[in-house]
Order: sequence, then C-alpha cells, then structure tokens
Amino acid sequence: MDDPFEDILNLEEQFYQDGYKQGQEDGVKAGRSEGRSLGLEKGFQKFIESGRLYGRAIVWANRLPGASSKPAAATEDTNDGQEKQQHGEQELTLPPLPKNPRLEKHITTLYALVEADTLSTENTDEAVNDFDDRVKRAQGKAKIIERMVGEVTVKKVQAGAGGKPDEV
Amino acid sequence: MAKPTARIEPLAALKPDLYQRAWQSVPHPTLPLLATTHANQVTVFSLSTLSQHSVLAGGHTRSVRSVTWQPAQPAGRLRLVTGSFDASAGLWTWDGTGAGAGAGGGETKLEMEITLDRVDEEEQQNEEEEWEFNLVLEGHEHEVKDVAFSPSGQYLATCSRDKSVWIWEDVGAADGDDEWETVAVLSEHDGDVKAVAWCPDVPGRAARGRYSADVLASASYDNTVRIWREDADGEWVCVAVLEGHDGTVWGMQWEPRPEGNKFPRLLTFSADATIRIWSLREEEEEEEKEGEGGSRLFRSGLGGIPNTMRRSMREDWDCTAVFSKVHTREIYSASWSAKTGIVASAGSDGIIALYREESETAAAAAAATTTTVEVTPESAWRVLGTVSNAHGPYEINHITWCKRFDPGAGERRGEEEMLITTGDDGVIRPWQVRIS
Repeated sequence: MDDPFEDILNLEEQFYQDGYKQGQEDGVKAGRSEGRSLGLEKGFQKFIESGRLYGRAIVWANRLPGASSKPAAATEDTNDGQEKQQHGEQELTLPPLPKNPRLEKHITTLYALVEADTLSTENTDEAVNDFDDRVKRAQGKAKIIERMVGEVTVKKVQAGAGGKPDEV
Repeated sequence: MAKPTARIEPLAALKPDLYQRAWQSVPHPTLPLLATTHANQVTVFSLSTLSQHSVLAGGHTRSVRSVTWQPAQPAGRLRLVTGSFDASAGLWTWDGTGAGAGAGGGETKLEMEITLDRVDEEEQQNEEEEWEFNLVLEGHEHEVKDVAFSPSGQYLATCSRDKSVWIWEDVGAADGDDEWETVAVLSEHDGDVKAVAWCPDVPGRAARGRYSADVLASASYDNTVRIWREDADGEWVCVAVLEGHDGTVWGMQWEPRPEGNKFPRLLTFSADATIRIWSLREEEEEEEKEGEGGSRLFRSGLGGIPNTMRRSMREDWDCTAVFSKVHTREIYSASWSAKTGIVASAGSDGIIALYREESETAAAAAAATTTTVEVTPESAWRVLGTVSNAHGPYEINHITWCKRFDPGAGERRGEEEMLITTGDDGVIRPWQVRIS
C-alpha cells in the first residue's frame, strides 16, 4: 500500500536528486565547452610546435650540399630583408651548410620525426604519447643541429685560472 | 662462523678546512689526487700529503656541484670537467710537462707556496703551474647537476635540472683541439636529473644487437633511473626505465667488478632512504625480438627511412635487492668498492653504513632456480657496520672509496682502501676501514 505521506516525508531525497541531476547536466555542459577550448589550445600549441620544427627541418635539409636546387619560394619568412639571387642554378638565399655526415644524419632524423603526414591527430593515449615523444626528441635534435650550424657551440677561454671570470 | 663486522675509524681531515659546503670528492683514476667541489671552486688534494695541491677558481659564477677526471691522459697532464649551477660545464687542464700556463694570478701562486711539498714527483717540477680554464660547454637551460666521462673518454655526459641529459663528444682532429659537439639531447625524464653514470669497461659489457658497448644511466627527481644506449644510427635511445624507488633517486653506481661475464648490476640510492640493486635480465634470443612487424619497417641507416617509431624498451631490468634500512633520511651518496665489493652509503642523517653481499645466500638462490628463463636470483646484503654523526650534525653529501697513499698506510700504500666523506661542514674526512 502506498504511503500517502511518502512523498512529503522524502522531500530531501527528491531535492537532492533534482539538485544532483541539475549539477550533473551543468557540469557536463561546462566540461564539454572547457574541454573543447582546452583541446583547441593544446592541439594548436602542439601542432604549431611540430610544424615549426618541420619547417626548420625542410629549410636545413634544402641547405645541405647535394640537395637538389629547387626554387626557394618556400623558405622561411625571416628572409624579408634578403635579396633573392636570380642565378640560373642556385636560387637559395641562405648559405649552404657544411658537408658533414653527422649533421646530415641529424637533419634526416629530425625531418622524419616531425614529417607532417606521419603525425597522428587521433586522441588516443598511444597516439598522443607517440606525438609528444617525437616532438620532444625533435626538439632535442633541433638543438643539436642549431649548435652545429648556427650558434657558437663552445667558447675557448683565454683567461688563466684565477683570472677574470669568463662572461657566460 | 662469527659474522664479519667493520671497524670504521676517522683519520685526520684533509687540509685545509674548506669552511664552505663541499659537495663531491672524486679520486683520480690512477694518481693520488682527489678533486673536491665546494662553493664555486674545486680544490685538488694530494692523497700522499693529505693536503691541498691546487685550486680551480674563477671559471664559474655559481656553485660547482660536480667534477669528473678525464681518463687516459698523457703523463704529466691532468684534465677535468666541472659541472656548475650556472648551467655550464667547464673543461680545465693542468699541464705538468712545463709547458703549462704562464704567470698566472698572483694570488694562486701564493696559495701554492703556502702548501706543503707535493710528494708526487711528476708535479714537483714547476711550482708555477696552475689550472687553465679551456672551455665552457653551454647549452643546458638550468643548473648542471652531474658530469661524467665514458670509460674510454670518448663521450662526456652532463645532466641538469632542465630534465635533460646531454652527451658531448670531442670531434677535434688532434688531441687537445677541443672541438666539442653535442651528440645527443635526451629529454625523457619527467624531472630534474640528478646524476649520470657510465657503465665501466668490464668483460660483461659488450655491444649487444644494434647497440654499441657504451651504456649510460641517469637518475632523476622523477623517482626513476633510465638506461641509454647508442644504436646503429648513432642515435641515443632509452632502453629501460627502472621504477621502484619512492623518492628522488640521488644517484647510482655500476658494479665495478661483476662476476664472470655478467652484465654489471646497478646500485641506486634514493631520498626514500633505501638502496637498491638492479640486474639486467639477460636473454639469448634478443635478435629475434627485433621489430614485431618484420625488419623492413625498422631498417635504417643513411639510405633508408630512419626509424622514428617508438621502439619498445629493449631491456628488462629487475630490482634484485633492497638493502636493509639503516638510514633514517635521504641517502645522498653510495660507493661500491672494486676491491672488496663492499658498499658504503651516507646521507642527510650523517650516518655512514657499510654493507656486503652474502655470497652464500646468492649461491643458494641460484641453485634453487629451476625455471627455463634465467631469472636473476635475489641477493641479500648484510650491514657490516655504521658510524653516526660522522660529520657532527652536518649532512654528508658524498662518500667514496679511495686508495690510501699517505704514510699512515705503511706497506699497504696504494693498496689499502679507505673511505672519504664530504660534508656540509666543509670537512673532507678519510676513514680507515678494518673488517674483522
């Protein structure tokens, strides 16, 4: 027999359930929009980084001696101030890199690590880990290549021991 | 049979007192010298006189935490690398052949005049010699925590708070050219990398499969130790992650003299106040495991497609021993003797502890193994002795085994091993160890 007072006596329970349901709906909605914006942000950051590395890899690869001389239309945008040499064969605006097998290997690996088409855009754990791992390794490789090519890797210090501290 | 115990007696501290926190004391591989880092300098002590030999100063702006001797130098020459909190590593040379640095700073010459005569004949020739700061190795973004040379001296490894391990190689044409190139930047740790150690050149260490013989281990704030090897492409890859410690792994040491042809075990010590031993699970069919999907995918070399896929971890390591807990706080340092196999540990609690492997238990465990896969037997380690408050209330930052060269060793000069502890009190103290 239904207790006629059941509803009234269990008001808290009903309010609780209402509140819970409402909270859950709100939470799901907020979570979705927050997740979406977070995903967009993270996705953008990750792929802009991998794309940046890919771009650098392409430029470096084309600067290697022995690379086929293609029109340098796709070179980096930092070339704004430079004049394009319109010679018959060489249209590269950047100086070629020294011939160095180790350097070539590094650049080849970097290129392979961040090749745009090989990176997965799926959201599975495995794909994300693979992506992160490759980008991290690529960053390390880029540092090595930078040091071999551009910035001075090591500084020879002339000061004797006990002399002036070297400017680091 | 009475259980062996150790008597650990303090000897006179090395002179002079440094009056600054000292971090590491590293003995030279062959000569009676000890390099100690403190503040932003390194003091090299003579182990024959137990007093200062020379000082390396002025090269770093911040604390120098680590130092390592470069192996395989010609007679009369010393080279070492310092790792500093200023995010750089420094390469220093001492030329004892008379062709060294000319007139140096007036202060350092005076320092040397004050010190006692060096008993080491090779360096007695020219009193005007000093350390020359040759090179700065920059690249790390944050404090460099440790530096280490590979056994042949071909590679230098540095690690830093920036979570990365860098491997450097001198590609200069001639000896002394010093053209250092960064060969690898390994950023796979999730936290500050505290220490790096190369596997020593022992019979059990050999090139396996696609990898060369050099093996590097790194210890980190992320509670793990990673093992790195160089593959056929010249790429350094992480082949194993050793998990098990519950706190920062402050460092590790490879087994200096493994049994027979076994691969050296790894000793690790941690902020969780435990010391662990790890063994490589050595299996025979390693070659066949190469590449699940057939070898084409993994073919590499300059002509082929480099393998960018994450290779599965190539090695399996098991934790085969956890030492009985003696320390109450973080263990900052441990040393495994090549001569006696005894392990000494020290740390934040100021306790020195000695341990030795119980060979009987290990042999019994090995005999009991009947499985087809060779499971590395667990080993038991017994505490031989302890010393409390070795540096008073101060923390002990480093402990190392070291051969005795002072007159007190008598006929056993150059043979007997002693301990050297380095403390926050700036005292570098040798200890005589007698096992009864």
